[in-house]
Amino acid sequence: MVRPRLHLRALTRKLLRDVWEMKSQALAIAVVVAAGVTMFVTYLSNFDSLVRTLSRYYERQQFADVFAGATRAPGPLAARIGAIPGVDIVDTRVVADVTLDVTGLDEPANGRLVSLPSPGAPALNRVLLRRGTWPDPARPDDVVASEVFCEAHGFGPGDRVAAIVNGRRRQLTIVGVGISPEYVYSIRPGDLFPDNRRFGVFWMQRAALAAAFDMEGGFNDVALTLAAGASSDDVVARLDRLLEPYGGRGAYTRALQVSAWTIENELTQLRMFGLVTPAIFLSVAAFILHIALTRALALQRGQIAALKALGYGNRTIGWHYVQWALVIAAAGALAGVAGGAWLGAKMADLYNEFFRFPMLDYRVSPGVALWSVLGSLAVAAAGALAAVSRAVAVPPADAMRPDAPARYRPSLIERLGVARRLPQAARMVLRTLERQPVRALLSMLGIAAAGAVLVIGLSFIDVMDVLIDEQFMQAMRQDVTVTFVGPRSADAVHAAARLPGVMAVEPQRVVPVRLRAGARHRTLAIIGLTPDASLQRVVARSGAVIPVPPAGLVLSRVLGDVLGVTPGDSVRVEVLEGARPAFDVPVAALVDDSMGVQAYMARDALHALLREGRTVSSTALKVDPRDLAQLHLTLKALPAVAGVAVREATLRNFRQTMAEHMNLIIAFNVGFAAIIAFGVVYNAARVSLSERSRELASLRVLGFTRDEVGRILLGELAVLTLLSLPVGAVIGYGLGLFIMTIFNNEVYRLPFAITAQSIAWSWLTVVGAAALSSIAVRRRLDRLDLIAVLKSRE
Amino acid sequence: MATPSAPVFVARDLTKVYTMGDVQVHALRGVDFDLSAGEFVVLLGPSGSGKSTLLNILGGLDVPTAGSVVYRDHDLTTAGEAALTEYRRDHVGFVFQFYNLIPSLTARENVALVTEIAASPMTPEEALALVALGDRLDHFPAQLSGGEQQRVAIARAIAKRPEVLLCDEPTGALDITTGVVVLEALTHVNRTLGTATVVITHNAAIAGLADRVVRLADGRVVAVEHNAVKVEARSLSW
Amino acid sequence: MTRLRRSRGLLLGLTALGALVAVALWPSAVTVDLTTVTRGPLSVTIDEDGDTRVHHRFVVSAPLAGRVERIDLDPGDTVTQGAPVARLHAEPAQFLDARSRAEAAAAMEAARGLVGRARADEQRARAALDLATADLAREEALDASGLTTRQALDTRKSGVATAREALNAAGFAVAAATADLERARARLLPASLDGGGRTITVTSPVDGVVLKRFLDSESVVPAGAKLVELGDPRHVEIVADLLSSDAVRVRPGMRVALTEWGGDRAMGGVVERVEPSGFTKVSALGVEEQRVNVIIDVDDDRAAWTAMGDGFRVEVAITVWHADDVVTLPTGALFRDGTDWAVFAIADGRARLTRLTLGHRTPLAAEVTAGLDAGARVVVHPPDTLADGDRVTPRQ
Repeated sequence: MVRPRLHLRALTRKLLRDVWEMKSQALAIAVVVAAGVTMFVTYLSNFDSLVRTLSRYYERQQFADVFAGATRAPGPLAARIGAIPGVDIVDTRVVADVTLDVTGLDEPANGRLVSLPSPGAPALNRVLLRRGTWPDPARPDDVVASEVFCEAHGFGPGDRVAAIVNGRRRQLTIVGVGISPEYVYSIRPGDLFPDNRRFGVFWMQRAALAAAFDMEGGFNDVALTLAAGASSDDVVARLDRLLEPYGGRGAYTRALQVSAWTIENELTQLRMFGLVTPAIFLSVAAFILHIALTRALALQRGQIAALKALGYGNRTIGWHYVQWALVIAAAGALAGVAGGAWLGAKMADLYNEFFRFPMLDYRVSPGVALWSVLGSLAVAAAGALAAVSRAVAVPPADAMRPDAPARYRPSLIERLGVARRLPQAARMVLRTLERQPVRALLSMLGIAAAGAVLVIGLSFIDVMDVLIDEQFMQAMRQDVTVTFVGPRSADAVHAAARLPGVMAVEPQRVVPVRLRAGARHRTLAIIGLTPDASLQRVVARSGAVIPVPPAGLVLSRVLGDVLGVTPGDSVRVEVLEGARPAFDVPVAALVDDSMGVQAYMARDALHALLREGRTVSSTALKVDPRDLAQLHLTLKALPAVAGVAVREATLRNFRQTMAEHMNLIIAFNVGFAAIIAFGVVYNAARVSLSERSRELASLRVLGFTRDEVGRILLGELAVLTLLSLPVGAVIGYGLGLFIMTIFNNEVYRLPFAITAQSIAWSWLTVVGAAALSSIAVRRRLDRLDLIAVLKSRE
Repeated sequence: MATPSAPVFVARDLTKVYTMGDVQVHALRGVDFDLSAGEFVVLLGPSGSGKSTLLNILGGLDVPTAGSVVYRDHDLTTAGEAALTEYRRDHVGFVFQFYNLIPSLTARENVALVTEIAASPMTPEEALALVALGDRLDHFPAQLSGGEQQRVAIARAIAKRPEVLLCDEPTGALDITTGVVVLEALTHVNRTLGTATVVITHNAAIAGLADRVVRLADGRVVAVEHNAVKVEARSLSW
Repeated sequence: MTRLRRSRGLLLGLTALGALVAVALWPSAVTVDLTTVTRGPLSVTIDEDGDTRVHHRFVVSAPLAGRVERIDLDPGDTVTQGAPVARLHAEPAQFLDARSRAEAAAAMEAARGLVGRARADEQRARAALDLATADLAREEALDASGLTTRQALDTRKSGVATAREALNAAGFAVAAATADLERARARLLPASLDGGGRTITVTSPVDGVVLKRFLDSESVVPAGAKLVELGDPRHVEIVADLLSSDAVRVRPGMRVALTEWGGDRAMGGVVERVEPSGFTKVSALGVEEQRVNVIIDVDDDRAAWTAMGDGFRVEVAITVWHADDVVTLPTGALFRDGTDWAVFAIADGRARLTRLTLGHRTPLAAEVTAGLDAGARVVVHPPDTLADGDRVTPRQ
């Protein structure tokens, strides 16, 4: 007996020609699959590439495992640090934050100076020179500047930047442009977003830096790598102990280092999006496929019977029809892989703006491509299997009998007696919907999925608006925040009030501390505010302003969760500067805020704890815009000023960055939602048309116009689309809330927000897409060959 | 002329009840039927008399509610789906009233469907030549007339050299001229290949072609006639 | 009939669509914080910190050199006028100890030696004079004989004069050396007992409180050494140093509010005087500034002030301008529109850009001289996206 293996040749031709017959529907399905696969490939190939690039970069440039800062530690301590069990390489450095006077920038910028050993290269956190040369030992003011800073300003080797180094103005000459694994993501401490115009990292010769900051023979920053199998907690604890007498500010591992941590968060998000979004698309694709295939199979009843009569077995016939689904899915998946490769490359470029690698080796890994194709095929097969097994299981004799007329009943609305004045068309529409309620429901959900995708995407804009309002219009209302080098006496407040253009001053006392509750702890800074502050305030996500109580700590809720404390509990506060006292302080309130991990206290209470006068660390200023330039000029020259943050500049930077991404995100959202909506509606319409072409043709023969017949067919879809609008909005809202909740982390906890405008836009888009596909189907209806339809058996 | 010798089919007491929509239909009520090798039998009867049902059961497309049917030494009643499929593939050829060709395959490919799974088939070209369609090999069913389509169906049915050919109203959808051509093809095949042929029709005139005429009414066999002399298809008229 | 129904359906559909578009494009109301422009008092103050200073301070010092006994008074003790502050034992000049004596004796010997040498010089000078005189006589004799030149004669004459001068000088030197010898001898003599061994009680010149004590233990002090500082803390004044450009705006008589002194409420004060000369001081931010001291008197209830001492820190707010009834609004509402000040005033639920002219300004409030009336509602800290004509809703 010949094994039925080669007999697919004729069947294969049938397969290809049949799929070609339904090419528009197949295309619609394939496009949805392609969209899902594009997303998958884009996100995951970026994830992949980033992970690969990152680990290679870290390794080659010897990125440290543990970091710590201190006030001033003696050089020989390095040997004792190296003796800690588990420590491999130790690299001590001098690091200082200075104010910069950059030509072309009114306000003062910030620079971080990091020492380079002279001679030689640093043992850890090695700088990769991109342009220019290393500093000449004979010239102490030569620096290597960070690439992103140079790009932002158009600087290169030969350009100069003025820096206020320990009270004295120095001209630094950029001789080289470099990058470092420590500053892949370079952000000024305290900022929300990187601002490469106002923050740069500069590598300077150690001798010069040490001389300027009185660090000769000593260091104030140390990085080290761990040996295999070493316990990082252990090493951190011992390092802290060694550095404590020298003003150690708390050691931390690579996981908490700003740049590395931010990248990790980004990667987690990428992976999450890369899995969730395609899942939505592929589910919708499977659903549409199922419906289209069910109808196609219904049309092929006779052929199935014939094949069975010819001696083809159920499995062979079943496999033949499953291949329909697989062919469509494969086409979509391949297009998706190509699309994902292209889009992914664009996304990688975007990453390069924020994360500076020596080279982002973007590649679509074969694994990702393979998984995406396999995934699509599996999903398609799943969607097809139910329909196919049902169709194939029908005994051939039944299959050859003509279908009984579909069972109809008066619709619910009619039975309620409400619809007496409904036109005939409307009645037909309602009855059709009720005849197959599950299918109608699922189609409606499919369109609703499109609406939900739009709601989530457009909500992003609204969330950003809410965030901007909360951070820049409610929490931080000062124009300029001036941070001093070290705590100053109360006179500094009056001195600040006398600066040009200053209209109002609110002093703050910022104390670096470690908060400890039981075994859990966090290192951060307590911000001491004036109780009736009107410039910088504590604002919750709901928009409520939280007044700082006269005593006790106000913590971010996420911090409360991390430490496991609630209002009323006590927290041990270990001060990390000065005499380093420690106290127990009660938690007065937890605030549901959006960003960062914050701790606040009333200034007076903080002064009382520290037994100090009305010391000031920074001031929030309201400034007359007319004198702003003058103020900046003055601030640049003040030796006591460590940093200047200008709200307007920060906001502008934020908006600009957001705007760049927003347009892209909106475009994709609208595009994808339209694809889904179009796909679902078009397929549903085509299937409906196919099922009812006979009766619709009969109506035309009876004298109904094209419009009237069109309304009967498309009325069904109109009802489904309209119903899907509120459902989609609700699903989108719920899903959006859910997404925001799972993306809660210590950096941001954004509130979910959506405006009526955004919902209206999402509805308009869905209606538009549905309208377009209706027009396409309507044309087909108009061109229906009445005679052929009426003569056909089905 | 084939001599009725070894029985090909032995069917006893066949009963079939099926549901159509909300209605229960008793298609067969205890039918006995035999078929010998090379025999040409016509099943005659009005619509609803159970002829198609009997044919479907004989062809393994349907299972009887009660009774037994044996093809040579295969008991079809107890056969599972796989066994029935194999039976159909290897031993039976079908011709339906509405041709049931695969519209997306050409004439040759429609026949190839069968030759690709058969044990020792003719080539599609041979089969189509047998029904005088040698020049329309690469036309799609939509491009063929009703009679031509039916002939393709016949070619498809015989390409595997089956022992039995079952035809359900083969000329039902055709006019007299085309019908005659189709019937000629059937009788030609029966004579040349010695295939036992069962033809269902409601048209009594066709009965003259058969060796034996079985009349069915209301799910029962009401009469069995033998034709001493068989009429030529060419001379039929209705 | 159907046509009418059809067009009605179409109309309904288009209306719904239009409504949707309208919602999509409708600008939403911006949520803002509002406040009301009010009429009321406004004070412009100059804020600085100052230190307290006891106005009349008396430093009691030692009238003579001597040994001062341990001072019993502690800072904070009250003294009345005439009460003893310290006891001073005026010591005689020290008897010389052995080493000093030996030194003095040696000095005397040295002086004696010098006298001897001086006398020897004198002898030598006398001999030189005699020689010179003899030379002259001889020369004169030759001159009479005409056997010498005029020049030679002059030379001899001047030689005599020189020798005579030298003799005089030597004579003086002897006198000086003799005087030195006398002085050295005097050191070895016991001093006179005039004024030695007396005990003086130093008394307080005023009623007051001990502010500072300069000597903690018994010690020997020179005349004029500071012993204690007395003052009357009830007469405490505040000294605040102002930027010279601020000091120019201050006049005696201006009201001052004193805060952050440790009590519950602010104390009242008045500017007593503005010092005429300035001085240079480095500010807390590290710049050099010219500053002028302003002296402020406390004229509030002293009873609340009793704990205040000398050198305590106080925040002063000098009212340089005050008006009882002016139109004011919070500075948080102000922004610049070009070169003018402006606010967003609410009219019919919309924000309207309104230009203002301002008068005096404090960190919290500003005087409106033109552009707005009291009772107007304005937006405080307007969001940067707010534009003229936007619809606004007040934040709850």
